[in-house]
Amino acid sequence: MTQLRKARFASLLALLLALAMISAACGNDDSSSSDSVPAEEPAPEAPATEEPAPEAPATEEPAPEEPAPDESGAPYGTLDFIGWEGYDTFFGANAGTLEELGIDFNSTYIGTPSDIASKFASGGGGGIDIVSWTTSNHRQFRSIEGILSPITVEEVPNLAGLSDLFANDHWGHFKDDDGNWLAVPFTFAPLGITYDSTRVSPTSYADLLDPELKGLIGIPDVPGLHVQAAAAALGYEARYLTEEQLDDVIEFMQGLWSQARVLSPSFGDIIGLLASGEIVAAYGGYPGLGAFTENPDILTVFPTEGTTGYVDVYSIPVGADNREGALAFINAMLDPVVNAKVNDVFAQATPISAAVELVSDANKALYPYDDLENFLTVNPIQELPVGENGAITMGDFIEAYGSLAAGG
Amino acid sequence: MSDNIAKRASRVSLLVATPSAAGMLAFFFLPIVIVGIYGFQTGELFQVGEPWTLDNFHSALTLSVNHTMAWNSVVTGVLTATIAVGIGLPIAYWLHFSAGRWAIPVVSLIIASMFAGYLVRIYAWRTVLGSRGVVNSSLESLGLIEEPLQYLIFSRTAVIIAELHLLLPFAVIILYAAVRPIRPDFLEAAEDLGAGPWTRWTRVILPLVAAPLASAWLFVFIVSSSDFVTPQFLGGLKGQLIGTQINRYFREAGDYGKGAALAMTMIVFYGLVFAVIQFALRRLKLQRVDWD
Repeated sequence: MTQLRKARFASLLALLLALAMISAACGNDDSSSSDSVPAEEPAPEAPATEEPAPEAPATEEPAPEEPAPDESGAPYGTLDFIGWEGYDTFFGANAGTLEELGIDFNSTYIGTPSDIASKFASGGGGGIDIVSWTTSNHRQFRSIEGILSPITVEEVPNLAGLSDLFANDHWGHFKDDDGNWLAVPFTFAPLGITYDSTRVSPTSYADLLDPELKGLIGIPDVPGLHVQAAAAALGYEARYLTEEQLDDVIEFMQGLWSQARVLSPSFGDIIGLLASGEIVAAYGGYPGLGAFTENPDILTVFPTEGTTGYVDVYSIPVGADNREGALAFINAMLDPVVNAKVNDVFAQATPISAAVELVSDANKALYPYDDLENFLTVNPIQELPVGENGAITMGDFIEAYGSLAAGG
Repeated sequence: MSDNIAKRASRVSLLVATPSAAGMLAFFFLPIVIVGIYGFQTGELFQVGEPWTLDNFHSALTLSVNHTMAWNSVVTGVLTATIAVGIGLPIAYWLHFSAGRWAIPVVSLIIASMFAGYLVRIYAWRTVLGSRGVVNSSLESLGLIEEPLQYLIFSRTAVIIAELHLLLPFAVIILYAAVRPIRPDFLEAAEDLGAGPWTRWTRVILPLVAAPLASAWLFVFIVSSSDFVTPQFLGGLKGQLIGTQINRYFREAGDYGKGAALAMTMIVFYGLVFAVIQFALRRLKLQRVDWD
């Protein structure tokens, strides 16, 4: 081979290698963003909505002009969203509302609320208009500048429709000291066991310990979820978990871990494993997972031992580019009709009083709206441990959890 | 005259190297220094600050969970790297000495295998190795097994297979570059002097490629043992590596201090492995070959 051919060959190799590396770096992102948040499974197709899809405009016709803003401020344009998958478009359940408001999304989905906290803590939250998160992390979120800005009832009038538990900020998760809203609740539910109803029908965590289910249980690798769920099942408060209680929590989890086949990186992955038959049930599922599959046999049950409840909220970061749009969107999601629809999609409970009558019968059967206080006593809204009053920190739990996760 | 040319060449080299050196400084060394500083600070909820402390490094070195995961990482890394160079070197040898006109197409195919995205390839292995995957289904249909082989997926085996898929092309490219300067007459001369195939491999080829072989091994070892995504998707409960725990410190607990200390401990460990390999190569007088 001549020197020239060698040089050409080397150039070809270098070019192919560079292309391969660029392709590998760019070509695998299943999420709708190039953000570094690990990708979830691809979102399923949105269920058909009652409204017909708009027809594509004929190519000969001139492009329609951008609609002029009406008195309400619509169209609000694009919202940069970061949060749980589905809490932007709800698989089409809020399509009419979004069209009315002229809102679309540039979305980044998370695997855990800590993804948002770490993003803002490292100064990476610029330009985000709206975040959706779970209030178990509210101490993390409040400790980081820039994630939460106050929202008033005048800005979101539908806040007036929240039921008493939420309107009065029963858990101290939603409002600042001045009574302004830092986090606007729009859905809540307990965690549960998500399972393939054609193969098993668990009602409790104890059912998952059946020897026949060994190697058929999946667990999402979300430590914050587990400390809350296990603490609730044992009657402890995760926020104030002591060293001794941590031992009990780990012992409780050890039993479930000994049954597990996989520690899954995300909730989306759990659904994939259930669908492929690799697992038959997931410790740490939640009702909303049903929205991610068209398989009606994938169900979620709230374990009889009790588990942690969660409240999912919207917040608007300080310096959001499109605050007006975010406010309009949040207000629309609290509208009773819309809120009932989106909570039906995720099989979660509505915090809006007037929406209770509007949710489906299946939803009403899941949630005892006339006795929510008792329901949330069995399935209490928990918080992550943050080391207050001699309690453990989340770092302490991570170390104990790591041993468990490593098979130690 | 020649002095002027040498000086000019030196200046040009400096000019050419400056941007990449600045890039390395800004995007590689500086972040490592920052992470190192974090390791000596107290972390709390996605922030670090005073007081300065050695506790994070004490935890990193003494906690049994870190020992378990570090051991998992080392075993996975050593096995992956050893298999990768074990397969990669014969492929590189074949490409150089026997492939002839097939060399370029085969190298192109090896590189093309990297065109698929990282997660796509991991999910592909789930499809292949899963209980209802290609391997188990084929074995069942052939009557060779009655139940799916559970250890194929969600195990260390699965992690190593996927890591090999991801990293073998890199090993082959490094090793192919290493064997290309070896002229066939080296082997012919050895043969004329009575060396059989084994002796030619051990006395001619391996000494000539020892340093790049070590580089390929080290590259695969470091990348595979520090990966945390592949083990999460394919490793099950027993295949978790140290990167997973570092990720949990940073991402879940927001304890940047402990996460940074554990990360720095692993960087130092990898540095030690590199030093040991360099030392061994030097003692064996194999560290480099001057082809000129």
